Amino acid sequence: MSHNVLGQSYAFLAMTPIIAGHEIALRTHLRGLDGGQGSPLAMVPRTHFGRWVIVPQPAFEGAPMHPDPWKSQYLLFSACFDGDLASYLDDLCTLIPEEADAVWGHCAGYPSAGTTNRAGFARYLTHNQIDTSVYFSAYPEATVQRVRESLARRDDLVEFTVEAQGLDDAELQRRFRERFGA
Amino acid sequence: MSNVCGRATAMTVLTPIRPGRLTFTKLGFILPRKVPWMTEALRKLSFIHFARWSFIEAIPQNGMPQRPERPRYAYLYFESNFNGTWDDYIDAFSYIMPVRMRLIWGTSYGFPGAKPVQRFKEYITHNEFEADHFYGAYPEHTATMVLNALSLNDKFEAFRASSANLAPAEFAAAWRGFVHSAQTEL
Repeated sequence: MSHNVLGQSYAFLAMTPIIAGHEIALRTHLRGLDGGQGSPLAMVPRTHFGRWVIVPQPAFEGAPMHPDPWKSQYLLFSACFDGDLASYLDDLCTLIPEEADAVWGHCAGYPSAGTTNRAGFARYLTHNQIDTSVYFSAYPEATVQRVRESLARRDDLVEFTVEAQGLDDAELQRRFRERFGA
Repeated sequence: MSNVCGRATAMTVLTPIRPGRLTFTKLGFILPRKVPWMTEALRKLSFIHFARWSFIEAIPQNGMPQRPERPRYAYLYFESNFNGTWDDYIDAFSYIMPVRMRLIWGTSYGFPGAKPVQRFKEYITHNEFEADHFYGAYPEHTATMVLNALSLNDKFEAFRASSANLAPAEFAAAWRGFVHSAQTEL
């Protein structure tokens, strides 16, 4: 049973096999990406959080567990974003086509046409999707845009609260309207 | 430190589930949807933005060059996006929801229990994978700051709508009331 959706938020996870021999190149590429607002994921503005993680092998816990070596190394891509999955995958093709191809191009089964074949790109990632069983968000109804606007509004209000001290009533109202509208 | 973006930290953990215990583990996840004990506990851990659990029961096949993959075990995937340090996070998890953690990870090989916390930390470290790239859209803001800002914004919009046509003296009184009511968020 999948529980990928909570409020207006979607939790996506895909696990794609890395082509043998590409592991180091992929890791080097991912680690070389700019962070923060320079990240490719920053160009997909519906993304709250996202990550790429290479899993070389699952951990071995010792007996009574038997070793469980996987034949491939895997790339996990996880994102918490606003809205539905189909349009998000389409956004990846539109907004970061070169970056997406540069990452998943190291994975087995990735369409040779990459993001220029939008349907193929979406099919590939949804084929490799791992559903979420329990999804938690502290603010599932808030979009990235609303979060950012609210944070900026709070800063604005803190500043105005200080500025408003000592103003007479008419001046307070005038400045409020000037700053925040009627 | 690619697990860190500003104040945000990524945690990615994969643990092998003992054979025959998958159904039991899943039951532990169905229950919270009916009685939201787990998500309520997570809410108490006020530094979590987003978290999730998934079961990897089979690895999707894509044909060659991927060699057919038939893992011996199912795996429990856990990820968290939180603010603060890794140590504080594990300490809080261990302190606030030890019983729930046994229900979640008790069927995984090697789970030592939530306490003593040092052994649990070693277990997580052993099964954790460092992110190769991690992004947060508002990395300098904690989950609490986000929640406060959202709440403040709702109060502000209500105040702005209700005060639009007030005379200056009434407006000033309403403003003081708003500031007072929003003290914790400001």
